[in-house]
Amino acid sequence: MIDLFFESLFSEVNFSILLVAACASMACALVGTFLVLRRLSLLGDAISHGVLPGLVIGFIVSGSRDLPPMLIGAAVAALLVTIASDWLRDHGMIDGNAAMGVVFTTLFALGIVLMESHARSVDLDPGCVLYGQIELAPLDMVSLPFLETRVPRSLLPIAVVLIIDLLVVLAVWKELKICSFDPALARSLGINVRLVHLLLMLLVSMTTVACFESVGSVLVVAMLVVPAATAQLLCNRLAPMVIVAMAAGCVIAVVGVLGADHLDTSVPGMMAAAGGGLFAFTVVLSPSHGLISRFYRRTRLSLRIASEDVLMEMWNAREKDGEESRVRGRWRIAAIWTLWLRGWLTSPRRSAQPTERGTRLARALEKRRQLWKRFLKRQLLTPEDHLYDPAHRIEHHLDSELSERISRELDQEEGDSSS
Amino acid sequence: MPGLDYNTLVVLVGTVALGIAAGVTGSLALLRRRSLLADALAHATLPGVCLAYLWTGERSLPVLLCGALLSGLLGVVIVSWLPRVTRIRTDAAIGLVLGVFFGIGIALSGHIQRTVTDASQAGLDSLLLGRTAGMLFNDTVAIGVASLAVIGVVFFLRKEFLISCFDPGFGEVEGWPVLALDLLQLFLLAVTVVLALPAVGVVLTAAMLVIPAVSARLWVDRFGILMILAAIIGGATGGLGTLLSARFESLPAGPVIVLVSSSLFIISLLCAPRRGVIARALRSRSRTLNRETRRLLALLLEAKSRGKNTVPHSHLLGRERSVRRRSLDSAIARGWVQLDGDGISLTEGGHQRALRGRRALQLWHAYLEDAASIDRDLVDLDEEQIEKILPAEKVLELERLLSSRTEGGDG
Repeated sequence: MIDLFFESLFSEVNFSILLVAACASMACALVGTFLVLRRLSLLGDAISHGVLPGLVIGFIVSGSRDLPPMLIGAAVAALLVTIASDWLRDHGMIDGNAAMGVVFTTLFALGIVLMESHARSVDLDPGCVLYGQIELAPLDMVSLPFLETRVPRSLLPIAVVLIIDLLVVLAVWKELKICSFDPALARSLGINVRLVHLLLMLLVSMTTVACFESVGSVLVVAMLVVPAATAQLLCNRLAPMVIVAMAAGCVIAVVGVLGADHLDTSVPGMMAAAGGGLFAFTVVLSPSHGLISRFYRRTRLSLRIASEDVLMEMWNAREKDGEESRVRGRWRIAAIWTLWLRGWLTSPRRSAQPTERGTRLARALEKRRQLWKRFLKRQLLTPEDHLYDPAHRIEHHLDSELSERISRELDQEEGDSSS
Repeated sequence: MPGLDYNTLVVLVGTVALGIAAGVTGSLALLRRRSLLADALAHATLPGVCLAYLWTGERSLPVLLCGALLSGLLGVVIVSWLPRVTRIRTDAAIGLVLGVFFGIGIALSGHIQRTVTDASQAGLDSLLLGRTAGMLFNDTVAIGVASLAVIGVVFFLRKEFLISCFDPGFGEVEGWPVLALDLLQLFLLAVTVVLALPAVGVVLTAAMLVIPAVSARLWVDRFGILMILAAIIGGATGGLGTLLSARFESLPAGPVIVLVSSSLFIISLLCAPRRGVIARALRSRSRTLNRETRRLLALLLEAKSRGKNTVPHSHLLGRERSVRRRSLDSAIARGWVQLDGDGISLTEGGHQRALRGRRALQLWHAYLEDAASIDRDLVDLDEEQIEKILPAEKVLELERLLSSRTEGGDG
């Protein structure tokens, strides 16, 4: 099984496809991270669709499918998309999303019309723009000047762009970081936010244009967003996020290429599907932001609050009764069992009494509740009949340090007012 | 109409109906800032189409479109669910769904292409870029009925949708089923997208929804009128695009429809009366002119109070020469300023005008000192506007304040 895996991975054909796929998805993941952080994910969508007329015009002007003129045309179109949508948003009083939608669909339609009317009957068709031609990578190999190995020709632009992306991101790392998280701070520090934005847009345009020749325009969107979103669920700091995103890009490339080989289908499609799978996996299982850990944390907190409430009620019941319980049904049973297991109740029954330790905890809780009521009344001037509920809710979240501070402040103030 | 054969007529009716429905739902989407959600929805329909084909093994349009509707709805649900339960934001969620669903669709369609031998792919491929010309009579009837249904729902729930666009909190307080209304809107959007798929294709569906709505938004400010205008624009561009592409046979209808409506958008962007670029440039120009004229009058008034009735030209034309020149011309044309040999001086009317301007400016300053927080719209120190903006009592109060202050200063 494992042997088969490696055999399939390193057969020459697959390896060159994999090389292209991995480089493309790493380049996209790198710039995609900053797009996702700046809430500009859809710009990738807009750019990758909007480059079509640039490609076609490049093709018409040069009369061949040579890469350089088409890439230049596409890059110009990509910059046009970003500048035009920014301009429409800022000067046309149009919602940013809608502005992007208008610009890129118009350009795409223009591209198709140009293609149908001027570039017909050639091997340039909308399909190759939408799907890319990564499968053809092994058929067109070139040998590098200083190396022994032969690499696919379509790898060259992608590799160049990946290296440029890496260098530029490292060079302006600090500026990009501050602009991504706090543009206002960046401005006040004297960073030219606009220039950084334009630089990022330039990187995105370059990367998109270089990659979609291989992986197709829509999959560029997936590659820009999916690894970055996956990394966002796993990391809280920028540097790890970028690294994880690029690693996720590699994983997606490997799984996608192998899956496409196995199922005999399109490589970019399988890469996007693999990305979806990886993301779904992360959404469910991420230790810090996943659904399961979120559910676990919330349940634990709810259980703690419920058991503290029940403990208070039981402790209070020794002095006064007739008050309606806040915790009912299954939560109450779970809370009572928790309390018993922790040794705060004498038995797991409704009639149970707090133990010595339980009483101590209940006293501490009662003290906090009173403290909070006093605080609400004095500092926030809450009316008397509104005190109970908020105090009840907040008592579970006060740690001893904060309680200490509040009680000190209250004492001081009461001392002031009495003297 | 001469030269219009039966096929073209069928397609024409279909695209017009489609354009109308897309205009209506598109303006709802625009107002909820969901324009690109339509794009994600369109891309998310592809796996549904492929699965429906794989499952049933036939290429009938209704079956494929049902699959499209289901997977599109799944995509929309994921887009609205992800930001609520994770730290993924809406834009990233849209990008995710769009890319991943479309990728799955492409993988599936590649699979179909290689395994199912008789699949000529026409059915699936035509959904990517649309094949308006292939519209049949039955398709047109279906599109017409569905468009009518969409418009009917929007018409009956217009009040609820209005509130949900501008003040969802109010709807919640009123006890309306806000979530259900929201889902209904998404459903209508999905239905429209799915209807548009066979005609204009996955990529350009968003254009059918977004561009007419955005163009209409440039002309009007009211909800109902916006929808009607967007529907008219959508229908008109749909019809015009179809006719153009029937005239020039090499051009596919979908992209032509989009280009027609983009041209209309550019015209709207330039010419719309209040929000248009030209109108705004003219307004800003006239505002600059007014301000400069005001400054000119103030300058002359000040010179007059120092006993210099005539001010030489050279004093006035410093920086921003052309604006000053124009303001001087306009002041002369309105009879506020007269040329006086080498210099210029105030006429009687201009003197009155300058006094009024000075008073308004003083009132404004008093008001600004007085009020701690000011609505930014009000702080336009425009001459003699103060009575129009502030209530009369406030102006009287300010005047008292001002006169007491000057008396205090004198004494």
